[in-house]
Amino acid sequence: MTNTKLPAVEPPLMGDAFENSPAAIARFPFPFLGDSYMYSVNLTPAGKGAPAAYDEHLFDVDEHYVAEMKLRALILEKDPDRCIALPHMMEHQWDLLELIMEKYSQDYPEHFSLERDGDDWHWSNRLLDIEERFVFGDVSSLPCEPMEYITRQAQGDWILMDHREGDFWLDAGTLTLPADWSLRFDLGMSFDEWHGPVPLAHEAGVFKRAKQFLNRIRPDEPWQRLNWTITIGRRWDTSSDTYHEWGPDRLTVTPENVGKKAHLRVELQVLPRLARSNGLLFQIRTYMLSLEELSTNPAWAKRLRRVLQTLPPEISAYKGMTLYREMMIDWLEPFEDGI
Amino acid sequence: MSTLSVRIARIQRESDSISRFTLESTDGALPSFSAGSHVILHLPTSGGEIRNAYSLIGSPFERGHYEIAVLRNPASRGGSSYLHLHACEGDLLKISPPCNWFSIHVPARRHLLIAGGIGITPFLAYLQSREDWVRRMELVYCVRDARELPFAEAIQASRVRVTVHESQVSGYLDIERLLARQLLGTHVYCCGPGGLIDAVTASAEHLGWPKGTVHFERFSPAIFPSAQPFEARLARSNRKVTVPPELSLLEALERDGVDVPYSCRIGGCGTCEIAVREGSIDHRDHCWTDDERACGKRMLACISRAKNDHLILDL
Amino acid sequence: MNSVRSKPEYHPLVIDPKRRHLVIASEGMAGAKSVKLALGTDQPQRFVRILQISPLREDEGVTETLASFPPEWICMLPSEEFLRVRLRNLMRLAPADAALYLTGSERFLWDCAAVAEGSGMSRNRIQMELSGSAARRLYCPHCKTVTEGVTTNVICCPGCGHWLEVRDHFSRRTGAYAGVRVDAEAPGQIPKVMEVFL
Repeated sequence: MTNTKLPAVEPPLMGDAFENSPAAIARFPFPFLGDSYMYSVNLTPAGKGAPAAYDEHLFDVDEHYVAEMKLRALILEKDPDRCIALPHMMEHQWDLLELIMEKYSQDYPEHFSLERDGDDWHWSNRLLDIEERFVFGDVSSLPCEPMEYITRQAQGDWILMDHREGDFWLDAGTLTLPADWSLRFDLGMSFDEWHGPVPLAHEAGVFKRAKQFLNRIRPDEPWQRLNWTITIGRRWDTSSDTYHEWGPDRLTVTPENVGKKAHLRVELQVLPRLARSNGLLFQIRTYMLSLEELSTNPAWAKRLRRVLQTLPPEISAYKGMTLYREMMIDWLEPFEDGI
Repeated sequence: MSTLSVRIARIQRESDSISRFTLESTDGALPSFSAGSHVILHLPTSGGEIRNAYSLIGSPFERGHYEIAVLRNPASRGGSSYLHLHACEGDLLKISPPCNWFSIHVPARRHLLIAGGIGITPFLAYLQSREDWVRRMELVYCVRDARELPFAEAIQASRVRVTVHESQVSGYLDIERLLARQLLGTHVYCCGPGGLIDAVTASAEHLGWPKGTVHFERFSPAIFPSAQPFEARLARSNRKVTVPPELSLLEALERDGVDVPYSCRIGGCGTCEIAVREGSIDHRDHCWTDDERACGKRMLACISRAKNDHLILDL
Repeated sequence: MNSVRSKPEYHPLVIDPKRRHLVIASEGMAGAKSVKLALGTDQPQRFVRILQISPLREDEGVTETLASFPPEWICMLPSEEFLRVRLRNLMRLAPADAALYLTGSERFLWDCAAVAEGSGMSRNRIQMELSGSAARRLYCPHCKTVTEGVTTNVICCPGCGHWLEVRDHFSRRTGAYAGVRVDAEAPGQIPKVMEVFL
């Protein structure tokens, strides 16, 4: 699988030395279809991308896998509440473990394998050097609960939603690289409640339509959509919980360093039905390119600039871009060709 | 829409009128499913392909095969007759992957299951789901004659608390009394004849049960005046599809090669929604609100029809 | 401030006379008054419990109102904690169609709702009337400290010492609003402190 060639030397977890290879840049999920942006229910079938594309497989594994998992382990040690489940969610947890193990072993057989003999399962993760024999359905046969166990080995953030009363409830999840929200606070909220702070979208009926769509997602047809924001510095953990640590980075952006510091952060949100609990999984797979990396594709640079120029002020403020939006637009100016 | 290929591995008689079909995959493991799910069988009857939904009655933890139960229905349009009279062990069939419109409300304190006759089928999967869910279940199984109790062994094996109500001995189930003694946090689930479902929902409403605590799955649509034929004009493809009384709009479209997404096929889930440009709609679904029906520009193809002799569809 | 969808809304209690099992929990007198309005006092087929915290302020004929109800309707509890315990016990034996009416401060409403929902009550069967303080329970995501009785638009978190903006994003599960560091991007620039949640 060409897209999972991992560097011989492990890259550092964060900071300027952490780079995207040209292959990673080429397969970046650039989110803008037009020159302006508004919230919409932009769902498309998941896992149907071209070979080596970010959505070739349902769950994408890329060159940052090991680094991201090490970062997750560090974050969970400092703050175990980043992986949390309400008591009724155990079936959803097992559904998640089964889904990830099945997909990873099918789609990346060089890195992962799964052997099953009834409920006796044998899982191998060669990237993290893990061998595990356990009994599916028996929590005591794993070192920790199933969601924590498997998400410590799975790229992206993972939200398990219970589907009941025609609504979706944020009842479990592992969230170590969110874009400015807090799982611990939002735990237990309904779909509209946890999307409460998002401006404009409610009035536009976006969430009502989204829920109608989510209600009908069938187990054999997962869906995906793209979301985006700007992050300063190559910082994965931008949760509300740590805002006091990364918020001040926004003050350090200058016209000279904005090309290196400002990152287009894209979330690939994958929504498969969970098999036995009938819940819905919400995977948030995060990709980041600095403006410099992004501008190696001039068409992307031009489009991003136009999107930033036309972005409604409420959305700009909600995404936290007020301090450096103009600097980004200026830095991208050479890519505007008037066409 | 994707299909799975299965082989009829076994046919067993559960009773005079019910047979159990075991379906094995011809190509790898079958997808896991949630209790309450159904699959749609594509049945090659002599009158043309008929697609019928059947609840999965086996364990959600079993990946090697699915099990369904089929009631021999004298009023059948051909689906259940085909399965009872013509289908043989070894036959190959196409089925849809499982889909669930009748799932367990996971955090409920208690689950009261009320089954009438063949309506026991989705609950058979419920009884084989997670142990901590089953421990909170209670089953009321209504049959005409308790000497014929299909699936008695499976129910006993689950060790769920069960009451059998025999209508030929005790008359109709006193639903109001049953619901009135339920404790806070109980969810009630009903599957069976339309009359039973209507009685349970009416009783719950009368007693003042909160919205969202009553769940039901119909196997056949609510009773409506018999269907009249009509013409469906497809505005975008400039075609006309004739819909005879014995076919739904969805089936007529499928016969003519027009594919519309679907799931339950009896007006309960909303998947087959289509846009209507002109014409009066005769809504026969049981999942939309009055407001949703009132707009007059959308309908459910699997069950609703035209009030007059034609509809112009945005297809 | 944008209107945030998670922010709860409250309405005067409208007690449904068709309900056969009612529990009213009240921080002040508002509960008993609403009952009198809706039910009168002579409904023998009904199970009614009015939970109040004693002692009550003597005002607006409180003794008279209470005396007009059948005595078994009234539960006077010595503290809010006792009230919640009594509430939990009532919920454990309540029928599926029971209704709960709450009136009091915002914190009281959500603490009682948590007890009821934990016992299996559906959210749509709980009515809430804000008849007391709108002071907020505040959750600091940076240090996880929960601060009660916040009445100002910004506060200095007693846990981590950061100045927090008090937002409208609300968690029904915990009855708390989220705070967020107000000067992370503008160090030292704390907005004027104003009393707004009263």
